[in-house]
Amino acid sequence: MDRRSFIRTGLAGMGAMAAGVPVIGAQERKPYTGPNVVIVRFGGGVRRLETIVSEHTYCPYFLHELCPRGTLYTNMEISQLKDVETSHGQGTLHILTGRYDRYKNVSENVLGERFESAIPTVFEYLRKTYDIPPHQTLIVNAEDRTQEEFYSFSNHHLFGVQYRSNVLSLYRFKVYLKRLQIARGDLEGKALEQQQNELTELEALDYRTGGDDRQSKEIRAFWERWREHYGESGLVNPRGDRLLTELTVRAIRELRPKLTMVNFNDPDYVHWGIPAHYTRGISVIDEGIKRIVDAVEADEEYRNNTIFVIVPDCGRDSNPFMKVPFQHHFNSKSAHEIFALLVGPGVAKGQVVTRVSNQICIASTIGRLMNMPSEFAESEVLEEAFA
Amino acid sequence: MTRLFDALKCIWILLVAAVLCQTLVGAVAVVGWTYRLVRMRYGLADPAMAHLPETTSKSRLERVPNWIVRQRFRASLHADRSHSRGFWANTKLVLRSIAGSLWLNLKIGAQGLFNTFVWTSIPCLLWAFGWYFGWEVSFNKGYEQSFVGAQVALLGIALFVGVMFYLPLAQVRQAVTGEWRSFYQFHLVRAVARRQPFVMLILAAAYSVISLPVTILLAAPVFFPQINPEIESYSNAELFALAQRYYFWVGLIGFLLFVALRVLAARIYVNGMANLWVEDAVDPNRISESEREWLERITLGREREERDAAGALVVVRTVVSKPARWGLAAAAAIVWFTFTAQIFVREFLHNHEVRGWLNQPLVQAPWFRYIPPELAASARDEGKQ
Repeated sequence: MDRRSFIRTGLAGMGAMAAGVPVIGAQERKPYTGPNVVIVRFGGGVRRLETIVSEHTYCPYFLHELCPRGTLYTNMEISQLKDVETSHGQGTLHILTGRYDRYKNVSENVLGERFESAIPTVFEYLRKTYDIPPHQTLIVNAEDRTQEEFYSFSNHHLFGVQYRSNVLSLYRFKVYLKRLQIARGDLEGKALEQQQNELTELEALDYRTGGDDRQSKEIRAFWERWREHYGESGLVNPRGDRLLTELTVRAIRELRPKLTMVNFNDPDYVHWGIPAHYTRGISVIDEGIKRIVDAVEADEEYRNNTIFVIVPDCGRDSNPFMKVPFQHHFNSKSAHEIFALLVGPGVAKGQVVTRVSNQICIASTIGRLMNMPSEFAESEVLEEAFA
Repeated sequence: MTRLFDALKCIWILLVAAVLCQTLVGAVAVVGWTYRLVRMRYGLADPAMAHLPETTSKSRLERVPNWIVRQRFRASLHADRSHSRGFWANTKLVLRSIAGSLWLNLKIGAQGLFNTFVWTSIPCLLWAFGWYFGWEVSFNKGYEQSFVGAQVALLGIALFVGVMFYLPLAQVRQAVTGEWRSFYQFHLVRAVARRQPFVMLILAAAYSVISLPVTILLAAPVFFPQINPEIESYSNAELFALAQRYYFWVGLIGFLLFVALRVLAARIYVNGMANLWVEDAVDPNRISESEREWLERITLGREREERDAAGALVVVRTVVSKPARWGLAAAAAIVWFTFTAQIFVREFLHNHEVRGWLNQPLVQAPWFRYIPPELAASARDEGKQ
């Protein structure tokens, strides 16, 4: 039996548990009464220069209005260790798991970037500690990054699929829509067969779920309201990072998540060589952050009870030999240089921390904020952030 | 002594070439020089040299053009001065002798590049537009128009592949004849290409294979900070100096590859024209008298044996040529596609903005320096402080 089959078998069994069957011997999980946390991945790869340097920033709301309300780490970095790469998947998992690891692409696509974590994510820690349903732990993903669907749970034998978070993305909406269209009897013959095949393929994206990746009734209801509002064409709803903002704002209103991660990514378009995509992408994220913060502050339950943790997945190159010096993030010194901002109740205000800190400290810091153990994460916490 | 002179001349040629390939104007001169090289080695006699006595030089570089001074400087200066009268006439002679080759390199290079860009500018513009439009659409999520960028880029690629079936031989024809109009004698160039389809496939493969090191060299700066992390601590002046050294060597290598491709194309062209002449497939009234003389000279001795075997050769060619020709043309199109694919990969890895799309150094102007102006400016500013 190979590694994949073993994991598939084990997790398929746990799938039944994820459906709500009580786990014999599992510790009793208390209800969660702590602060909500919104992790904003200021991605896909941004330099400090265009974000936290005042004369060059493209995110003025973030820098001039939000940063003064919290603790800003200006010298956070991704450690220059062997096999630690500066890219989106790896950076996201560093944030979620609190560990550096050598992530191997397990997809057939050479450029697939499909990584599976061996270490639990903060979502799993939270759901193992507290009685929180999966639809209240959310990852909001971009429409063309299905590889990030795999970050909702790890392969760790003590955690895994039964403590997974839910994912909101257009990919998930498509799954919901295909199911609906098949159930409605909209299609016949070959069209129906094609739709069913596509649905099977989408739901089998993660082999670890044994092809049985169903969305809960709360998520289905969320998509139903989304569908009523934006229709089925996919051409009416916002797109790119604006889509993520819209999904997040709606999710806060309708699903009431305790822990959310928003995976912004548009600045990464600069890989194709157009500098304005990078700077415009940063501005779009800035607008998105403002909108999410406004949504939180307009909600009585979330206002004064929500902490924002804003951190990039990675930096970008600053290659002086290129016309577009930040075109890529190929493990240069600059690609390892990031920042982090924590804002919310219990977080020190107006503080700027210039000491060197580490991206993998985010997970244990969230663990402290949400009062949950994060035993497999890097133990160092960002102490300065605590008021 | 001749050997020493040749060695020094060779070094001079390469050094000047590497320097000239750093600017657009210099690249024009390199094109002109290359055309003159092709003509001197394979082409028609230069009427401007007809009045000079036969050379007695044993130099191997006798038929290599000069960069600056007029070819056969001393002999031509002596011959011209014996006919000229007056101070101004003599002054003009001297100036023409001092910079005669430079003038020719620039003039012939400009003519060559003009014709080349007439044919390549539209495909290059199309794929540049396709790239920029396509990624603008993708970033701004105008998916309804996403097909525009891709299709325009594909059209540009298709046109470029089609152009490359004609362009290399047309460039060489212009070089060999010394006549810019001869570039547009489609029937002749087409006949030469059709006469040797397998060889045209080899030419396409040579372009694609030879462009690989150029692609790597032009993309390599992306990885400089990773290859040598100490670069992070260099001053702007040191970075600029490093870039200058790097592109000097890229220019030298690029020049050699550029010339190699032109020489290969020249040999293919001359062989094809010779075959056509022997087969009486060239209408003598459609070419100049000097070109007729040239064809007679290069096919001297071949006619009799070719004509004896002509009957059998014609029969054999007719039986295999058409299906094989189509197959070889399709294969050549695929190979030219691999050449263009390298351009897209290169521009993804290291975007050179519009210039990266509009000018392909091995096909158009051999301009190999891509130092960002911001780096040059910051090095200058640092120097002023």
